[in-house]
Amino acid sequence: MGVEKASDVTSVEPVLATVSEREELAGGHCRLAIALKDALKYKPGQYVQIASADASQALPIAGWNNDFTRIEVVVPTGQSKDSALLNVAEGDRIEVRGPLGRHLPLSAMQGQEIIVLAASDGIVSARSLVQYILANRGQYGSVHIIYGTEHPKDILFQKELNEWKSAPKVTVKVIVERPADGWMGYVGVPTQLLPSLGVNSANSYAYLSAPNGVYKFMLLSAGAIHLPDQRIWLMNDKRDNEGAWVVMNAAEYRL
Amino acid sequence: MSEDPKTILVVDDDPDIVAASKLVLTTAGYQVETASDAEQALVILEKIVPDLMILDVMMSSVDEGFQLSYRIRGDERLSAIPILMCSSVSEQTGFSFNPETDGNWLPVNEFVPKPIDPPDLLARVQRLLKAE
Repeated sequence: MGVEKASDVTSVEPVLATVSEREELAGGHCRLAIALKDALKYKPGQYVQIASADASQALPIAGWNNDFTRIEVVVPTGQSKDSALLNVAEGDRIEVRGPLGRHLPLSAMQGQEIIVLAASDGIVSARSLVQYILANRGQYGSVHIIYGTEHPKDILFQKELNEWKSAPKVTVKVIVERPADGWMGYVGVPTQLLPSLGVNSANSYAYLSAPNGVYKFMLLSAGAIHLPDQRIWLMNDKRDNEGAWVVMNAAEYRL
Repeated sequence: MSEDPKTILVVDDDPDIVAASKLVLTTAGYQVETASDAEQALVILEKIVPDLMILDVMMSSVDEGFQLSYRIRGDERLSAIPILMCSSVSEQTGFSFNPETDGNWLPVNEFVPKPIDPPDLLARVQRLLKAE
């Protein structure tokens, strides 16, 4: 079985948009909901370039809904160099260019169990895939989400994680490296929990989304549960020409 | 009265590596226990808390050494054991590993690529035991 190619979509015309909602999140992040003047047909794994009056930034699309006139992104706001959109507020007019980059192989993933292995900010793009699957629930098998952060206070989308736990055929395991007092959950790194999933690797796809330096551990652990590279996709930390992230197959990543 | 010898647990699925390490370490005065995989190591760790572990990565599964190191660090009784990780995983995967930059994903004291020559092995063991 060869490497499956995701399609390239490079619609580059900017779309006028308005920031309809700004929500401060944990760990120095904020979520922006953006209302678009024209529909922007994106798929999980893609990103957008957002330009405000004085800043421009490429960000992964952080959610999914079938009303393509609304997208969400997450902006790092705490002590980050990537905070060009730090001061964007509700009501601000912006331009959105995209969708850019490749998307995940959603057709090939149909009927399969899906493993989402996310660390730190990696949950942002993973959220797009999870929301897509939940909106198309009958087309996909069980979803196993493992999400790790350094501290409990860094956990993004806590409320939504709890909602996912009660969704049909979805398991969510959250693990932290440094537990705070009263933490009753898992302690360590996300790959520790992979063997406990007991998935059938011949019938599963994995999506890995994590900061630089972590993929080597994730790829080894995915290999340890016998997932072939063709069934492992990740949000590459090697940036593309646009300075943003690109999803790719594990076999391509290893090249 | 001489001190009790320090105990070192060597975990590696390559019997030649285990035999060579055992010879070098026992000759230097250490007591050596050996295991060929994580499961065997955990049986030994039920009975003793070694002064140091020398741990391979790719054994019956490709991340077995990492998984074992996570279990050790998560176990209050075992968490302080110094771990010298000795593996050819970098050569086989092209990935580089460094406890200083990999943080809790690589919770070992030192990472060294195989093969390690006897003087280097002994120097690292002595350094880690001193720091204990």
